[in-house]
Amino acid sequence: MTNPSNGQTANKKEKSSWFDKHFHKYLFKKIDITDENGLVIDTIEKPIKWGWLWAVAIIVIFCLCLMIAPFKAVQWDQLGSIFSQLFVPSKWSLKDYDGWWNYLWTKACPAIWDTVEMVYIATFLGVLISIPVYILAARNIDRNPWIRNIVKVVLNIVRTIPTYVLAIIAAIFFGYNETAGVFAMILFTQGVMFKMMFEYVETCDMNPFELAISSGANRLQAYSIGMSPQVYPMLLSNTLYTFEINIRASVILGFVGAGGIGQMLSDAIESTSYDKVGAILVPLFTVVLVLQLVSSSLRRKIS
Amino acid sequence: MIVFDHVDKVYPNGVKGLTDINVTINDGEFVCIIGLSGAGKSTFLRTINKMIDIQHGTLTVNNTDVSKAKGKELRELRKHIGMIFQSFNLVKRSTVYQNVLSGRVGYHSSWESMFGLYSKEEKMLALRSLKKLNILDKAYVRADQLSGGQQQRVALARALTQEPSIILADEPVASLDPITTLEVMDDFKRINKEEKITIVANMHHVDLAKKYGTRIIGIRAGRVVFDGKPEQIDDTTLMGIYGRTLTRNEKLGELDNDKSK
Amino acid sequence: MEKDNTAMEEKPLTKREKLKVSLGKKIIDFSSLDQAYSLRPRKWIMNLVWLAVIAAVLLYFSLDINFFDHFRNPNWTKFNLMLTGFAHLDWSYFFGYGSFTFDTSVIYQVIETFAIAFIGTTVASILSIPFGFLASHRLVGGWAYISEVILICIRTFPEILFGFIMIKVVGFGAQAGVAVLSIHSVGMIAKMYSEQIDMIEEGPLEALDAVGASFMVKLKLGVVPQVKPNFLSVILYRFDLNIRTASVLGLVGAGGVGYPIDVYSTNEHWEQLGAVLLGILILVFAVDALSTFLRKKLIQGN
Repeated sequence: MTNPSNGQTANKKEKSSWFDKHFHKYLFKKIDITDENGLVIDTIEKPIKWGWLWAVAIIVIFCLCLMIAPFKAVQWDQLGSIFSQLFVPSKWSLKDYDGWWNYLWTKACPAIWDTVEMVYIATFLGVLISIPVYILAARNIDRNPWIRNIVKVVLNIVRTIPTYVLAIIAAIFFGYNETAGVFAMILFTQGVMFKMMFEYVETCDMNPFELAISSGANRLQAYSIGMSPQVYPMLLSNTLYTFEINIRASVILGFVGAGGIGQMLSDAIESTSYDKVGAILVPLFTVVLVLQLVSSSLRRKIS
Repeated sequence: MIVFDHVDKVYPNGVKGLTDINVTINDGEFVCIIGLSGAGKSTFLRTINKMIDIQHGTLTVNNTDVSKAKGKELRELRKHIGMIFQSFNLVKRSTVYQNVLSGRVGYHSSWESMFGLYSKEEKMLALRSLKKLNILDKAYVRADQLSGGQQQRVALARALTQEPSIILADEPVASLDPITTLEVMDDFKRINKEEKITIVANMHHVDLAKKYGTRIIGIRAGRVVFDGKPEQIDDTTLMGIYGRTLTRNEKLGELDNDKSK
Repeated sequence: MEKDNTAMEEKPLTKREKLKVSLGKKIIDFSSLDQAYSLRPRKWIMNLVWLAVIAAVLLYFSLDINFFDHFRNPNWTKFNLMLTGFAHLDWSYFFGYGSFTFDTSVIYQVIETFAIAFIGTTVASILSIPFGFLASHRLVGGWAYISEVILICIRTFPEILFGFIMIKVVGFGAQAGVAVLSIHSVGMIAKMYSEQIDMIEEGPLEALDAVGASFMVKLKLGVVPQVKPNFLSVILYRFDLNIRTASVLGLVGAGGVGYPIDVYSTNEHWEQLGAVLLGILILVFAVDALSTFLRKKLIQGN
């Protein structure tokens, strides 16, 4: 049953990895230290500098990659035309500055608000669901290695799948609308929160947990009394961070058709109305910047 | 009542933590356990509430066979045993009041304790425990803002709130300065006498054990080598427990002025 | 914390004092248990309020975007078709035989994605060096703000948009992706560089000063060794991320695996889609494992 004090010593693993053990003789060179008569008085192991090899390897890979994607000429005039279109109303589909302004307020801003709403829902629901998940995976709470490993593997798979893939699959199920986007973001949030939180929980102070167990609590009670207060600030901080990430992800999701400002952006680009693109970028930029500022200052206050 | 009957503790790698322990502790005693570090004092203590398993023999605590207790039965057993740790083990970010109240956790289901649904009697009980330890005025202060001695008192109040029949203390004063040590030990003594709670405590300092205990148990290499009254401790018995004369660390010193040897 | 010395008398407490006692900011000698009990903080009220607000907002938002409507008719048929498609992956597409050439196979596109990320990250990490130094308060003082602003703008610009522009500029294909990554990554890498530089210890630099080293020498012997492991860790982390970004860029046609995903999902060719997804999964998994391994070696000292 619960054996906290024994568990501590049993978990100490050896530091050297599989790699180190097998490749040891390639990593170190033995050097004999001799005194003035040439007699060996000591032997030390000096790590061999493999750094140069890495540098060479990188350059080789770089050249290989260049073969796949060789450089091409840059068409600077195109660039110029795009930027001019952003500011010169003659080619605009919105006709003039008033039209642009109108578009900004009636179309772009509500779209951004939609996106924020989506992200809010996804982040909170996602965080809520992730809480039991990362608790289950923390080594110090859950003694059963099977459950832990299954959870870790499943979440690694979820984390590896790119968000837009999740969105596409969700869109097939729910149709191309915001719900699919929220769904995809909830899954994505699981992956992100899990990685950050379960490592943190493992490093938390187990003492109050042990105390609760010794007074007759079950593990759930012991967690909520002993560990929750410690984990709570980190949870909040990571939730804010996840919120930020989700906003950026939602732009991509929109491209795939899952709603929000990304969809509007992709429509505007496809119809090459760069004026609309500009109008959309303004609120987008503002929201992301403001969010970053707010989030980083709040997070500083929490830690 | 705690009864050890031919109890062994063997670690998975074969090392014997405890060998053939036969000890009976009656209600109301104040037992102090002394011995070298690593001799098995902690192990002995932790087998009582099954924080550590035993391999042979029977250990009966309050008429429950400890090795057979699991799940609900184990929690029922532990609910009546309080434990005090050297590092206090309080929840640092919570207030003293919350820490003490959490002693009642064994009396509630998971949901109730997650939402903090304690009855008014329990809350009054918590406050009363704080008052008994003269620390009521700090009730709503965050636990990590207290000094070491105060934190240990809070831990003691928490144990009291469990309404235990036994309190186990693992080196409760090891992190405290000498004066605070005496204060906290006085609190232990008072609780032992007034609340009639059995106390089993490990300690480093022999003179402390002699001053406060009604019974001393000396453990060496996993075996009980001394079990008797404090008056019976002399240099020979100490030699048997420690295998050498005492170092300065093992004597608190401040107590030398009350006519020890 | 103040100690109220007159607590022994029954001096009635003001509301403000009561609040302070409950919050633990003021300590008084409670005259009775009842008084202590009455002054206890009722945390659950605050928690309930927060919860109610969050839940209310959640509900309002959900209704606003018609979240619940779409739960009514999920498209099971399509979904099942997709799953069956996934069960029978188009291996000819995956490996590049049969009706597909190697150039158009999944494997090639995965390699292409890798290449885009690799070149992009390497170029960006070199380009970021000057930017990182310029953005570090330690080295240039107040001027750093200008660089920081530039970097923030680069970082916030949505990559897809960037990708689209680059396609117009350098043409369809992998080069656009490389261009986007090279510039966009500078935003994050340079910021991390500057953070690392700001975190280095003064000690070694002072020691070098004491022996009369010039600025360049101080840089090489004092700054570089301290920041090197962290720089490398940052680059690895960014490379990891860039693999994903590269595949996103592919969506708009900047090369790599993104484009096929878009095409096949709109045309509902599930067998091919499954093959591409498998390719991406393998790629990301492999790079993830590789970078974790390399990161561990970095910590141990390469």
